[in-house]
Amino acid sequence: MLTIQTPEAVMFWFLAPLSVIAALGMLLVKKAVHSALLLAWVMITLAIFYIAQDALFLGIVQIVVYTGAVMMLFLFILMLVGVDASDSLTETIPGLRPIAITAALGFGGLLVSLIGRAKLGHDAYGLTAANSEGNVQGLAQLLFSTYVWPFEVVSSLLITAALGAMVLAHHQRAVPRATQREQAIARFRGASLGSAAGLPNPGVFARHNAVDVPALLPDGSAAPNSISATLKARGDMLDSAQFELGEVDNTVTEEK
Amino acid sequence: MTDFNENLHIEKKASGQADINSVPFTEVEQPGPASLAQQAKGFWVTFSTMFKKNQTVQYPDVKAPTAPRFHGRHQLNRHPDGLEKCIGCELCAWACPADAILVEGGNNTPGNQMSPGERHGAVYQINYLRCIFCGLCVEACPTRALTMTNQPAHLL
Amino acid sequence: MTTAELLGTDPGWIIAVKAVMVFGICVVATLMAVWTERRVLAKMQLRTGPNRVGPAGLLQSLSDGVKLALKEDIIPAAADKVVFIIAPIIATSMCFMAFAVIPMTGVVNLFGHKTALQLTDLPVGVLYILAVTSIGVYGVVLAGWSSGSTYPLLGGLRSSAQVISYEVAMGLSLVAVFIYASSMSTSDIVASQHQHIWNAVVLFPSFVIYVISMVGETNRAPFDLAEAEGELVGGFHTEYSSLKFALFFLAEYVNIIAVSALATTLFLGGYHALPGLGFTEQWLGGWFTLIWFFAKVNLFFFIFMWLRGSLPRLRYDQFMKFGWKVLIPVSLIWILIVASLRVLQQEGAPRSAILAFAAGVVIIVMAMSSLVERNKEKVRSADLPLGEAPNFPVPSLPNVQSINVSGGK
Repeated sequence: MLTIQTPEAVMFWFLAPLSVIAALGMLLVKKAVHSALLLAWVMITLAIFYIAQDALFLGIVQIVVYTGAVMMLFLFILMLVGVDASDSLTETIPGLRPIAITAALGFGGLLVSLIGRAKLGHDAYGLTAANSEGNVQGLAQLLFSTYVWPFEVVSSLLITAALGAMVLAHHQRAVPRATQREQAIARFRGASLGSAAGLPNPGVFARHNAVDVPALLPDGSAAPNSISATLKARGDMLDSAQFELGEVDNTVTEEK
Repeated sequence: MTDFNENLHIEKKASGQADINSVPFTEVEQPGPASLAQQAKGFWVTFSTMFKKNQTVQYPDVKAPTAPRFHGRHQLNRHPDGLEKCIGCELCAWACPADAILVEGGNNTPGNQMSPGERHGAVYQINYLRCIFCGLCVEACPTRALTMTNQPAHLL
Repeated sequence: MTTAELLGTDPGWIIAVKAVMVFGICVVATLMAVWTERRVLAKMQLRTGPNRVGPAGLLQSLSDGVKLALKEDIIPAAADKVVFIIAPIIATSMCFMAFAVIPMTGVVNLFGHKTALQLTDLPVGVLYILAVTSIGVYGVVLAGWSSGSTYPLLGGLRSSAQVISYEVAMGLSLVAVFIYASSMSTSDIVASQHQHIWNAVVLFPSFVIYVISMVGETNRAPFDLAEAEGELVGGFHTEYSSLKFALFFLAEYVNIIAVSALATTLFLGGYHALPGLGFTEQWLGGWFTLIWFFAKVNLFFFIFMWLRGSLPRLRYDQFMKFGWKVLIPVSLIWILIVASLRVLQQEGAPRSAILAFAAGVVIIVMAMSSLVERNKEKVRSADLPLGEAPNFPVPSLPNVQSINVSGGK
């Protein structure tokens, strides 16, 4: 029979509410990165529960694989794409909501039925029996004998998905990469010689040197070339005219 | 003075006429990665350098002799007869790019003849926290009153 | 009596004392490491290095730490405040945790209690270190994101990609050690090396891969792309100041010591003496093993400094290419070889079979490398159509513009 010791109970009642709150918060917070962080916390608490229940290997692997690699990839993508609270939340595909609800219910039902089939009407196998050859060895035995077929199927599915993503994202170079000489020639052959010696730097001398302020040309007009294309596309440009020097006052008062 | 462009015969072509592609050039073969032994050589350089003598001069403790034309501490000179060379013209202060020099001129009076002529430098201050030791003040000085010694102008 | 059983008899106060000792060792080692690094790098560049605070400049890093702590603590207006504060705490606490399973001495006498200087012994100790360091990287990544500025974000991005790719190589290099020691516990691995031979000798390729990926894992030169000061100002910690910056500084050095200690444990026989000097292990009532341990850790630390003094920083794409296309395939092949050899050994195969297997591996590797080389030549000599679009439909791609290089309009 399972006995629950006091330290384990204390830890459970301390961590379980925290993980439930974090799980709820994951759904409710606005920023995607916060949501990912809360998910990572839920995973870590789960790992601690596994460890508390003598599944040391499972707990550690949970942290290494899910928190360390999968969530890190998530964060990487979130940071790379720059998902923000300001993103539009309107449905782009009509009828997405009912589909999502149906899928969630179906998936939930599947989980409940699977766990129910595994648990109801069966006696617990017992930790000591499962870990008789050691936790890792027991897991390895199951993974590479009884469940080797599902294991391989899942891994081939994942590899296919990864390869598919790579094929979709891959592009072959249609024209050879321009050499330095060719680039130099192209610069001089272009419509304007303005960029032949390189693009101007952003910033207005002595007044404002941020990257989002276009440089001023000698005639006082702004040089849009001096701003990175990304900032231009985002519309993150300041009006450089406000940093323009007005009439230069070069009258000198004679000091007596 | 002769015009430098006089001797250069640049044939001016109308734009678009110049043929950039026909400019001769040699393709440089990139050497590619060096062999492992070559790369290990670099590690040997850093390792063996550890056992060489340091080049650092422990400055305030050890004062190495400076170079003959070292830009050091400024010096205001006098004429051989003892009169000051400085005439308080402030040209050094105007030449100073770091705005480190303050000069206030004063009138020479019969009872107080500091320098030849009418004026002398009454106040002469160089702020060594601002000075960049460029020597422009020395170049600006019309009477060679201001020169630089080659002693370091240390603040300690 | 194994180390795990020995540690199991520790009373609570001994565990507390050992935890404080491990913490103290890490902090003092960091102070010493910063000083050593600055002095050794200076020597490599014909300079002296810090020599004015305390005897031979020994107290320089201490005074720098005090100075950092007394500086103004700035939180940028655009920062995500909570994450900004949590990030350095995650980074620092996790790298200290990694030290819990490192065996630093053999059996010693601590306040009249027979124990070993190792906080705890887990059956999956090495995986535990991997797990803890992978959480520690969250500190770096979150610091980059939460600063609300471009350069730290780029540093954080680089760091996360770096960790994902180099942790795979690191994990794979450890597999061969697990196979050889048939255990994942640090103390068992040390014991098995004591019985046979150092893993650095038998598993030399794993050792090399681990040393390379540990440099990548700790963001150190030549792999310090996450804080590349020439490109990203300070990388992920650009916006940090005062104690928070000091925490990152501490985390970086404790991390270096932790991965060096892991390398010592897994490949250089841990706290045991050099072969033939085993009698020294009994000196000072067993505490002399601590000296052996730190001598080996310092060897790795010297490698870190030596690399920093010799190599320029890698370009980012070359760094990724090296991780994914060299380190990971090589370690996969190496694991296959090690596993096959191990099985052959356990099945009691004759020596000739093992030799034949080794010869077969060599021939296959040579054939593959020559094929790859020939393919490279083919790709190089393949003529791409000059300056004209291909005659099959291609999607329009961003950032690709055709450059007319053939001359004329």
